Amino acid sequence: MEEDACVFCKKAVRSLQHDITCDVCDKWQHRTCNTGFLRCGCRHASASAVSSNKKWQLHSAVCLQRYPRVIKPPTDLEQKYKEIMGRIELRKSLLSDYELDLVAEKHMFEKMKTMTDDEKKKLLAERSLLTMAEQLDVWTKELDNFKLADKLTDADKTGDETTVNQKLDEKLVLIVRQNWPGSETKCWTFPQGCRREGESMREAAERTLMTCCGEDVDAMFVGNAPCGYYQYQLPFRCKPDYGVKTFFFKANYTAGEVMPTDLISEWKWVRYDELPSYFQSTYLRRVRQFLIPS
Amino acid sequence: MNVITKSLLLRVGVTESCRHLYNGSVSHFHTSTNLQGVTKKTKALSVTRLSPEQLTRRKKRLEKELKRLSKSNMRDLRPIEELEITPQLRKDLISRRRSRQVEPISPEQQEQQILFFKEWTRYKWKEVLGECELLHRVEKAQVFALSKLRQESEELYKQAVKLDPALMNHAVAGPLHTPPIAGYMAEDGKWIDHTDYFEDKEKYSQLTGAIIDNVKAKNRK
Repeated sequence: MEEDACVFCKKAVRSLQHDITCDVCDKWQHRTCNTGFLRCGCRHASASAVSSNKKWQLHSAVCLQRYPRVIKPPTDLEQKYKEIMGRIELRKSLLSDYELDLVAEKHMFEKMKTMTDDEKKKLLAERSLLTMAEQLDVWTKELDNFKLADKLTDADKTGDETTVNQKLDEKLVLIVRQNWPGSETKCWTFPQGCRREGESMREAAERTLMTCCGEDVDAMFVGNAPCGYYQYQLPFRCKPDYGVKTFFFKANYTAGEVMPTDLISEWKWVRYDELPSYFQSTYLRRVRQFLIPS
Repeated sequence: MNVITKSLLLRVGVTESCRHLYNGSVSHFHTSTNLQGVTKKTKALSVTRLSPEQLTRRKKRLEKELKRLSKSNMRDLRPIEELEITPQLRKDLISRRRSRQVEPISPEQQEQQILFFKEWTRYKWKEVLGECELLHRVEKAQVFALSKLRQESEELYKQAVKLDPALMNHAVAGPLHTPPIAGYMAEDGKWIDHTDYFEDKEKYSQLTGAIIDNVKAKNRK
């Protein structure tokens, strides 16, 4: 570093002294040599200059949400409400065609008690072969024979948390353990990636999702704006980058499965209330602000 | 004499000139409220004050209106399909054929129901408040993130704040009772076009005839 001389006292300006330089002529002057600046003012100015010199990496993180596919069983209050409303609606309703047929059949059987055999035959020929009760049996059998899909999938039974087809009545979110170059400790986070030149933050998020989770995963990004923000310092060896500013983007999962890639070592689909056991406390606090549980 | 008459004349002149303008006490003067340039509604002309010509003109106008309304295309308005009731059902409603025989609810049961509904409103209100709080928190987080992005770069902020046209046509299907059966092929059902085309009956009667013929041919097979 060259030796600059103070304009006022002509002595050398050393690095530990408070000095001020002119932007135009690039000449130096001691703070104490007739500048009028106070020590506290100088300290404040130098601190802000240092902070603006910090280099931040801009990262986009993706909060990939899988919405529930199956409804949850109703709570006690909801069940009671359902029953009461059903009763009220039944009372207010009119008789349906099926119920009218039941009533007509009842009348017919009562009439038949006081009729001759010939008249009975004639009457039965007009109607269908089955009575209403028999018809009902046929219909219930048809319904029982139709097999609905099981609400508990195979993944639920084995406890596999890497597929999407598990816990169908819950809202799930994807968390990954990313391989950051140079770091051995891996922690659970949302898929995260650095923004490249010329990209918007959302484009960076879309690219991150594709590179981290494979090209099979289809997602619908909810808008251009980020939903959350988190910043942290990088370790000293990552100089000149001081830290990382992460912007979170929400995306709704539509189709596809997560494939293993080089960037992630592990991934899981977890419920929102399971996140505290995976995330760091500061990260969790930030993330919780924009997450909407089911 | 001149002076006296002059003064007398002046006085008389003033009172005389005033007389044709106003002939009452000062208390009869009044000002209306501040109209702000808007005048009061004009009074409708009462029928008794109209001349015979005006009366005949009015009659003619009303008759013209009646004729216009009673014309065929104004009377047969297009029926709304969702609100239509079949004639059989209309008859049933009048004849009370479909009325349900229900026992009256006891006062204790009614009381219980009312108390339950109060509990339900309390539960739902809590839910609504929770949702409002949630949305407020989420919005705050987004505003904070956008402000940080703006600090970082104005261009990135502008890109983030742009409207996303892909969201306009976005449709979501909600959760169901059971998940879809893997590899299930639903059967095709019969379809008969019941829609009424009112505009051009000749044009569409051919179309509907063709569809019905198709269906009949299929059924025959």
